[in-house]
Amino acid sequence: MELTDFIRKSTIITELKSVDKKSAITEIIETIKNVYKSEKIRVNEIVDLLVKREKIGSTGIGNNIAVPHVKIEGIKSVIGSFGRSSVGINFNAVDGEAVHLIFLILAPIDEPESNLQALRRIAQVARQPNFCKFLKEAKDASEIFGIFKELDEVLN
Amino acid sequence: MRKNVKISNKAGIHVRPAAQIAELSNKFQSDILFIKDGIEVNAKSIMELLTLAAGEKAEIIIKAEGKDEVEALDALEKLINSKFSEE
Repeated sequence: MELTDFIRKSTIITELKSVDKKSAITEIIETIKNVYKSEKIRVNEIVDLLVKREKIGSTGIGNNIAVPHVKIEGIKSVIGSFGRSSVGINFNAVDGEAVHLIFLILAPIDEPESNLQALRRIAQVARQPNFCKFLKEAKDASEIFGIFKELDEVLN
Repeated sequence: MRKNVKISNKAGIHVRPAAQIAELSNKFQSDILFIKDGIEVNAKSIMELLTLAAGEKAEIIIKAEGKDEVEALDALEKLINSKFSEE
């Protein structure tokens, strides 16, 4: 699975307005809702699930990256989004660092495999040299999407 | 030293299980690898563990080398069999 298979340019948030974990997650889900306009994307319900699960264990995986993910009913394939915060958000990440890059994943409930494939691709791109630097410096959603496309090509 | 294990939680090794594996592995001095379909990754790195995309029923070889390898393998096997406190 490629990054650009599940992240559309229109769901990329170049600069998150939110400065805390819950509002950042809400802002990203609302953006997905506006783009996909699906009744299956119930914003409050999904935010509650994600926040609850963050309390069990943070999805801040280090390198200023967080990957909140949840499985929901009624979607056919993975829906992802990317949000960037230049100020940084406290995610209680494993390395204690603030999170600047959030990849959020909604996966079909009956396909645990698709969730893992999306996470695999994010982990693969996150390991690429200068990945964080390039993403932090990109000036708009088109540039960010361009970086995603390039990384997908490099990894294929 | 090696040990074969089978992933038994429904969601597989997603972020939280990967974090638990890496955290536990880091408590040991031994070098620890997770091997799936011939691909070896460092079990002390969440990012590397996620690249395995190991789902339910995936077969993993855990390889540990060092003076606490026996303890490391036992502890990791126990963690995986506990399903990471999930379904």
